[in-house]
Amino acid sequence: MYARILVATDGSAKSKVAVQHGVDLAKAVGAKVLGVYVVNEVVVASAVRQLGADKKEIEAKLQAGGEKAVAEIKKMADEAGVEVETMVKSGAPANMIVDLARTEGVDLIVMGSHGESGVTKLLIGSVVQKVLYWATCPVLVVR
Amino acid sequence: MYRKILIATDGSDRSMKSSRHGVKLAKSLGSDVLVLHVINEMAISKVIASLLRKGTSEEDLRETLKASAERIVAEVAKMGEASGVRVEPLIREGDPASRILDAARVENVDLILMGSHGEGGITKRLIGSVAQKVLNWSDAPVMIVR
Repeated sequence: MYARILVATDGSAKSKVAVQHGVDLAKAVGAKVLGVYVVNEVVVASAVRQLGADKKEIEAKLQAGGEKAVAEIKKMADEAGVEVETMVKSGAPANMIVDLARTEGVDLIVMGSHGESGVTKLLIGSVVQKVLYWATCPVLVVR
Repeated sequence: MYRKILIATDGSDRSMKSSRHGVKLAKSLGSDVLVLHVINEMAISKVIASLLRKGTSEEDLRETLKASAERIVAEVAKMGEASGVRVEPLIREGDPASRILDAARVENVDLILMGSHGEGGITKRLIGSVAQKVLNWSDAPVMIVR
């Protein structure tokens, strides 16, 4: 059914629910998982410009957070006996996810309806909304 | 993984393509399928009746749409039959997104699967209004198949 499933995470608890779905689905259909975290370059730029953060430092922090988040995906996949590959990228999250889905030839994207920036008043997060707009493969949104 | 998958279709070509994907997924997961077509209540109006053959009543419209609904869900049921997936047909009338959400809740489905655009999808919108509403309000996971 699907050979390769891209599971996107931002490391949040909500995102973990989606990751679990992605891993379970991969196991059920015999797919491989590509676990992805994107360091949000807009967040970096704004932290530097508006909050006076050190660029290198904030990037390193987010990168480390990303490594931890994808390590959790790897752990879940390992436990389920699902083949897994992980990536931490830097860019605009939605664009990066859509681009990766295309270049890596994935058959399905799985993500949470909201990430870290949370259940604000939006009914569905801005990243998943954009991914839904531009992805050419099916997208599974988990609340 | 998912015991019961709700496939929503408006019968358009795009939507039937998504339905086919849904049946395939159900087969590989061993899920049961509930295929839902919602007769859009907005389509049953005096205005629309008046645009059609003279003397067409709202009731005639409803009958025609019902017959079309039967054909649509039967087509998906046939896809299921061909691949050994149990497909239960469901026809509702009302606002499509609301009826899809209701059915998902009442029937306790584990996944809603639908196309990004249905019939109204010729606009420049990146995602159709029905899919958008379902994504916004569904408690169950939603798979959008383009």
